[in-house]
Amino acid sequence: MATQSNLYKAFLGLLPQRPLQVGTVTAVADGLVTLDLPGGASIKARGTATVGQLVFVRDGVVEGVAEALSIVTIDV
Amino acid sequence: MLPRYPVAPWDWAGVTPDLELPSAPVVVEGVQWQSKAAYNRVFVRGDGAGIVGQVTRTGTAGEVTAPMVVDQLITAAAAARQRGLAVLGDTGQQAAVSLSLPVLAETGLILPGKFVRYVDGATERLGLVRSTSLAWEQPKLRQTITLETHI
Repeated sequence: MATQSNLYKAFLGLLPQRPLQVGTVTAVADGLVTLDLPGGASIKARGTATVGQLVFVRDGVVEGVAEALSIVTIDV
Repeated sequence: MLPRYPVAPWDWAGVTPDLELPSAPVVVEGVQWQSKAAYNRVFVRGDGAGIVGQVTRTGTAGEVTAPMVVDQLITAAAAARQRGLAVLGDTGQQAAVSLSLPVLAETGLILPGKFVRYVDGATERLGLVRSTSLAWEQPKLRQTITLETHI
């Protein structure tokens, strides 16, 4: 077992990831915000926002307004 | 600072390894199989300022999108490219292979970030060194390296 990967990292890998994402608000109803993520996915989050806004979202909660940044297309 | 992937894993066929290990001194200590999501597109985004990078694996439609990465350091296309490659490279079928071998004058200490080709039975495999450890048991000095290989 001398060469197993870092146990703490392996443990962290078991926990759910909570990435910070950015989406465009498409609908607001009953305190739920519907967001379109780049790539086509659509999610719902709690919080306040207005339709058309770009917002940060993490773990189902709107965290704040995001800036519109220019998009660069990269192939790797 | 080392890039996470000096060359994208799908281009490893054309890589000249830094070291070629013959089978004789090398002992395979363990293989850890990993199956990861086959993402081929990721959006990486600056926080506050910077750019949004839409990073796609060349030759794919980019229809499987990885969770977005938001990082303050993504301010230029070069940074977005490296971060995107780190996400897209760590996908698909992989094996973390641990090799144990003596510290020879020819190889020295094999440090992370080197490409190593080793012989596995009848086939040759190429891997990227991810970790190195040393063990000194008089009179032997052995190193154990873990390679990231893609199948």
